[in-house]
Amino acid sequence: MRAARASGAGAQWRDLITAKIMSEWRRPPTARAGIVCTVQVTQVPGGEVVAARILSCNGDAAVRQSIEAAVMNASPLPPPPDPALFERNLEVVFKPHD
Amino acid sequence: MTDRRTLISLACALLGALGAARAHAQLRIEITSGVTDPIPIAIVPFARSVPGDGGLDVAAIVQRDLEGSGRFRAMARADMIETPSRAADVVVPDWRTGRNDYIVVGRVAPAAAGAVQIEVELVNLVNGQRIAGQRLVATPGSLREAAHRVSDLVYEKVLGVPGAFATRIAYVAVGGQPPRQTYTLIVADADGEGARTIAESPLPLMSPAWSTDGEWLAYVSFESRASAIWLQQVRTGERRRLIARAGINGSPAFSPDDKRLAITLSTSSGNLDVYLISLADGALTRVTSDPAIDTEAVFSPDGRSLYFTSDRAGSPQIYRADAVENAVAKRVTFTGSYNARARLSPDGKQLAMVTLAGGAYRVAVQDLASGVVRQLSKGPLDESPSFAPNGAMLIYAGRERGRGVLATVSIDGLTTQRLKADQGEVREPVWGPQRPKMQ
Repeated sequence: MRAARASGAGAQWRDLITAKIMSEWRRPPTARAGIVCTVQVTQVPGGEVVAARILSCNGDAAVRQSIEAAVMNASPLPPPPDPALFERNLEVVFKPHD
Repeated sequence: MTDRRTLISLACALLGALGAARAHAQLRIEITSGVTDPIPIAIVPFARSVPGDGGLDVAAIVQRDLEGSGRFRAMARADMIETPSRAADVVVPDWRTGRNDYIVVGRVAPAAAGAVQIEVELVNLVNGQRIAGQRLVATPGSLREAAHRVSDLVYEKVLGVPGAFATRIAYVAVGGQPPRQTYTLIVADADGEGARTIAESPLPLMSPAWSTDGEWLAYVSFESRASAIWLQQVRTGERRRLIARAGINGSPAFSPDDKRLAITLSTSSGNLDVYLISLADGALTRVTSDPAIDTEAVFSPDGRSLYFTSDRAGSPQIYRADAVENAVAKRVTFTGSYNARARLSPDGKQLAMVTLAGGAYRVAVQDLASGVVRQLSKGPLDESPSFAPNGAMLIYAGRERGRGVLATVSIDGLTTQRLKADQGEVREPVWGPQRPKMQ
């Protein structure tokens, strides 16, 4: 019961963060389908992003720059509905569909 | 004592292991789409230490270029607290406060023999890295081109695709009132500045077309009271009459190898068909022989096909045919009752045309693979769309308060920019190819 509630809140938090980062991703023309870039994002309580490190990326320099900017411009990230759910490290995967 | 210490270190190790496990089970976010908002950039006025630059504001030209592309939004100068001219002097956090992702700084200084050099640097403010630097040497006459090269550099470094700002356009201007009018063929920078007259006539000039190498213009002139197709070298002004058969000689378009033109000729009965003419010997190849009007042919970028307008199905539509004698034509456009004047994108995947929609003639682009048509301009009388050589923008002519004006529109249709053109009535703009790099 408690676990179900926690995972619902977790999913809600994930959706909030996803929406915030998407709204800040100014995609360059080279960020097309087939691009997969994984970024390790570190935030502190309050949601401020203190680091964004690209772990892997098959895009060009323009794609990498746009991804880093999207994460940093999304700071502060929205807080979790339940403070106990806070995670310091996030793995953000940029994977454009079209 | 020892036992207790062991216990504590053991507990610490355990906690550490738990912490590590927790870090691994981290939240995973997947980003599958983004936004088309322009990228925020600060373009700082360049430091200047020369009289030879004629007061040219390089940063202002770069700002207008980049904003006109629809891909950038520039910080207002009034909001700038500092004006660094070197990357090393950029205080990154100050510019991040204004929510800029990039900053362009530079300086204009004298070079040898009266020349002027422009030095520019581009800094990524998100991580503080200087991502580009370039030094351009220009003469007073090529300073504007150099400024557009700066725009090209920024565009390419930020977006990963080439800019097309240091290019030229050609168009026709009509001055005076009937019956005394002057037709002028003009070549200008892609932003409409630096216009100069290439040819002038009291009788109509029309349908300019660039050669693929950017050295020549082909156009139709009525200067001998009947239509003829002329070729003129842009740099020298040297020209020759290519064809002047009885009837109509119209709509020239160069092949990608600049060896042939697609043209429209009329038969003795007045019917219009598409032909190819060899520039070496004037030999003609008749491509279409339909009793309907076939005209306005252009080559696909690979040179194998022609796209042209035909009313063989009752209303003007675009057709495709191989660039050979007696080719079989296949209809390409099916949306709406009027689609004319085709132009292909540089990658050959998009077809720009004039379409009639909602009672207005608009610029539209059809994706050739899917057939999907998007309207880019609002009308009411837009004509002559022509792709920039990077495919990111189109130029076209429209009418405003009864006058012909030139405008550009981004390929997503979101950004339109009017071009400066003070030669009266302007029409039929055509965007020239990329130019060789400056020395």
